[in-house]
Amino acid sequence: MDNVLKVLQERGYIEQMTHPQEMDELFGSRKINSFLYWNRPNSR
Amino acid sequence: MGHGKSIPFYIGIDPTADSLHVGHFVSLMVASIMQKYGHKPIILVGGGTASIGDPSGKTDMRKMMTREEIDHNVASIKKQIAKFLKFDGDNAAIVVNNADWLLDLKFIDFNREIGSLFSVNKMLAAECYKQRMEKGLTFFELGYMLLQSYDFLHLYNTYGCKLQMGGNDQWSNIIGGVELIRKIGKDDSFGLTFKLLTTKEGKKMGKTEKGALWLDENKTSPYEFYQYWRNIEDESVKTVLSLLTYLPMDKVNELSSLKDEKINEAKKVAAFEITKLVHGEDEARKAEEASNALFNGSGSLDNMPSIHLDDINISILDALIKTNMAPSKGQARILINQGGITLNDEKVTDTNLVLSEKDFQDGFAILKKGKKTFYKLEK
Repeated sequence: MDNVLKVLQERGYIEQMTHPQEMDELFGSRKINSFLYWNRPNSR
Repeated sequence: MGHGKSIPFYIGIDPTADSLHVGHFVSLMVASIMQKYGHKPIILVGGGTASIGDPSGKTDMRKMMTREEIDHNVASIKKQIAKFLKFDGDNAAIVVNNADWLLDLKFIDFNREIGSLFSVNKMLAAECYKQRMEKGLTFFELGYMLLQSYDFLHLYNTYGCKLQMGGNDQWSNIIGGVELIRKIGKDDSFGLTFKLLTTKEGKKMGKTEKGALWLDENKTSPYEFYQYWRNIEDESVKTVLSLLTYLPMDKVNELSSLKDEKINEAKKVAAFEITKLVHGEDEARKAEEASNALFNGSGSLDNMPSIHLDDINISILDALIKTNMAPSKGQARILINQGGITLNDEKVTDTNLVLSEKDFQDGFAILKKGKKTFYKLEK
C-alpha cells in the first residue's frame, strides 16, 4: 500500500515541502489498497 | 477508501478570470489525488486577496478588480473545480472565499495580532518580492504575504486545516503561513509546493497563439484543447502523462519510453486522457475523431472547429482574421506569401483571393494554417 506523499513524489509533483518526516507520519497513515480507483475502464 | 486520519488541506486559487486555465491544472490534480486517499480538500478562492493581487513573480502592480468582477469569477470557477473533486461523502471538498473573513478585518487589530509576528527584513529577502525591489513594491502589496498567511491560520482554526499546497512560486507565502501558525504555539502546520508545468525551455506550459489554454470550453474549444496536448514536444510527454492524467506510472513509463514516430501514440493517449478529464469522454472522443480525420483521413470532420459564413464570397484575408488564424490583414498576407495557408488542400498564393461556390463543394471549405491549425468554413 502506498501513502499519498509517496505517490505524489513518484509522479513528480512535489518540488519542496516543510517538515518531510512529520508530514509523512501525518499523511502517510491514510492509505488505499491499490491503483484500481485510477484505472477506470475507459482509460487506455 | 482507506483507513487512518482524514486531514484537511488547502490550495488557493486567484479569481482573476472567470475560468481556470492550465496553470491551475496541477493544483487540482494534486488535490484530487489527496482526496482519493481520503484527505479533505479546501479550495480557497481568493476573493479578498484578489483585491490586492499577488506580487509573486510579477514585474508590475496588478490592476485592481471590483467586488462584482471577483464574485462573478468565483461563481464560474466553482463549477470547473467540480470536475476534479467530489463535493459529497466523508471527505467532501469545500470551497471557501477569503473575502468572507478578510474584508472585515480591522487594520489596527490585524497589525497588532498578525503584523507584529512578521519581520519586514525577512519578508523583503523572500524570493517572491525580489523582482519588485527595483521597480517598487507598495505597502499594499507587501501585505499580500500577511493576508495569505492569515488565510492559513483562519482555515487551521476553523477547519483543522494542516497543510497548504501551491505552485512553487508560492513557497515564500506558504512558509509565511506555516511559521505564523507555529509562532502562535501550534506545531502541526505544513507546506508543500509542486512543480510548475513548463516546456523544455523552462517556459510555462499552456500558452497558445490566442493566449492561455482555458479549461472553459467557450474560451478554448475541446478540439483546440486536445490539439494542444496532441502537439506537445516529445520531451514533455512523460511530465504531462504523470502530472495531468491518472494513468498508473508503469503505463506512463511505457508510453513515454516510445521513440521517434511511436511517441505520437503516447501523445494521443495524453491528449485524450487530459481532454476527458476536463471536458468529459464524449468531447474527448469527438476531438480525437476530428483530429484523426484531419491528420490520417479517418474519423469524422463533424467535430473540428468550424465557423458559419453568412456570405461565402469572403476574401481569404477576412477568412483568416475571422478564424483567428491571423490577427490582421498584414499578418494574413505574410502567412500567404510564406506559403503557410491552404484552402481545401491547395496552397493559397493569391492574397486577393475571394472564396466562391466552387470552394464549398461539400457544403464546407477547409482552411488550414501550417500543418496543425484547421478551420471548417460552413456556408
